[in-house]
Amino acid sequence: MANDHDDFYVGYLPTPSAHRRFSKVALVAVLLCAGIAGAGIAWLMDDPGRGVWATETSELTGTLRLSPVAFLQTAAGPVLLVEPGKFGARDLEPIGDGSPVTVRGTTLERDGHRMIELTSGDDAVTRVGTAPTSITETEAARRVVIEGEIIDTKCYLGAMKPGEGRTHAACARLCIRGGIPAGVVGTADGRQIWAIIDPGEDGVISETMLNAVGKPVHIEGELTSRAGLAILRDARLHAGD
Amino acid sequence: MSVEFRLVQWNTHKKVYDLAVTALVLVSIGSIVGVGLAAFPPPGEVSPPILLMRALGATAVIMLHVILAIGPLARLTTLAAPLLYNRRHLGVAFFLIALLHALVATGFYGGFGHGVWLVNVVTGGYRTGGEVPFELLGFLALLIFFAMAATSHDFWLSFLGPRVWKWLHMLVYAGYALVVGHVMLGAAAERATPVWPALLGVGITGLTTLHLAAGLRSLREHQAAEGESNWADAGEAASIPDDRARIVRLPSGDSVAVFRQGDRLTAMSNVCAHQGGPIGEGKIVDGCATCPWHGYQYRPEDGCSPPPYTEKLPTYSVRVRGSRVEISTTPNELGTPSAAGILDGDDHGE
Repeated sequence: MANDHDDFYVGYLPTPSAHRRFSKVALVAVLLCAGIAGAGIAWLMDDPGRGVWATETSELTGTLRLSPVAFLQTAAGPVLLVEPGKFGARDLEPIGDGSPVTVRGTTLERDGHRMIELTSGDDAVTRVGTAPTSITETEAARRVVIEGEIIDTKCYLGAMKPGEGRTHAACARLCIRGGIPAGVVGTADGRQIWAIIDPGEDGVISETMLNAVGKPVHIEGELTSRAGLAILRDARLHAGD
Repeated sequence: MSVEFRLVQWNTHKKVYDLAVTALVLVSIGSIVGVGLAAFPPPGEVSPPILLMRALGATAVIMLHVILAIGPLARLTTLAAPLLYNRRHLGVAFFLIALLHALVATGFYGGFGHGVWLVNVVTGGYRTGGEVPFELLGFLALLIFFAMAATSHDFWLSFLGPRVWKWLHMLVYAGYALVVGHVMLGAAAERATPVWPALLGVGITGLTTLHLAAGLRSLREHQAAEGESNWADAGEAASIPDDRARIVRLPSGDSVAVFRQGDRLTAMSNVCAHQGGPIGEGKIVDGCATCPWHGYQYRPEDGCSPPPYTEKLPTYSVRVRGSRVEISTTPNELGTPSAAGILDGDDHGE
């Protein structure tokens, strides 16, 4: 004789066979859907770029530049200087713009653009000479409209991958507020552009531009360079961005 | 059912259920991390914390859809009852996954800089003006899910009362809307491929369809009782299956379950004292009307749970007029025996 619960599920009684079969089929279906959806989400992620953050500390020698942001002028091109965490290089003014220095830290590099995260010790930047050198390389400024995105250079160069986009915007704003140089990546007149946004005397880009970090924008300014570092001066967003 | 509160009353069903939940979490996270590592090898790899953050977030969204699908599915087929029975375990697991997603995201994106890491991300990284940060939507959703997870235990159901508890847990739909906004304004807004809008579209469509189907079925099953004075017609008596019930909505709006045990007809509130489950979709088991959601039982004659349990449901007097069953339009006093209707020998049906 059948029990009076043989077609009715009660959690503290044996599970009827029909319910057990249904649960198994439902579980397999849910696992399949979750696996396929998860694989699809992962497969269709955007390319995070080819930024590389070295794990070993290295030393670079060059000329210290402090304007418009801190960077090292080297024979192989400019190297941006930042500190650990979401902070730009600080307290370098006493060493002086144009001083020959050796810097220690870990390098970040993406598409030929370089940065070094200074070690936290006092020997992160060591003066190796006394004679400041003046800048010999300056490109004539030209007016451009760049279609692209405002980024924080540290994450973009490899500290985070991806170090751009909407979900990363909060992090990028913290980095920029902490003194990490803001940059713009995109295209202008059909050419790829990578440039540091001149933060001006405030040291940080405007609130309007900070709010536009991580979003597609049109940004206009004077594109120039200092010691090989591309710089966008007098930058402003186009209306609507 | 229990006469005392314990953290978890483990039984085989719960253990199997939790294994299934664990499998869902592992498959979802594993597929995202595994495919993510394979599709993006170094030097073009996604940072491990970001990959984990995405895997946890996507897994939480998948789990939320499963949670929201179980309710209407159980209304459409009683075979889904085992999925519903321990759904709170799935709910708590979902909250923990969502919390981990939030911790990794806020820690990674909001940490290592100025200020408080949690505030940094919830406010969009000191954003001033502009649109509502998508992070805030996720944070608000997490608060709702925390309130639900924290009060999922029966102690809180008893402490808050079924009405407040149910209202609180219906906020899951507000949480779902916030999650959709969080994803659409965040992850979906930056992808070159519309994978997130597509998947969310499938999820929203599926959930809407299930809820509409369950709602339509409930409307069909609930007969509008017509009657005069203090009695309401509840339909053909013999067409109620043996040991089962017909759900009738009284003119007052009360939902009543009319059970038949052989020739005996009784009526009680259709709303379980535990979580408001539909008693009328249950069955007479061991002589008691048994709720299909969590097995809470009530004696048909007086609406009381068998000792030592103390739950009570209002009963309604029943009488048989010809082939029709009629129920009183006002409930009897809680815990008092009620009049049953008796079918004539020739009127039994199946």
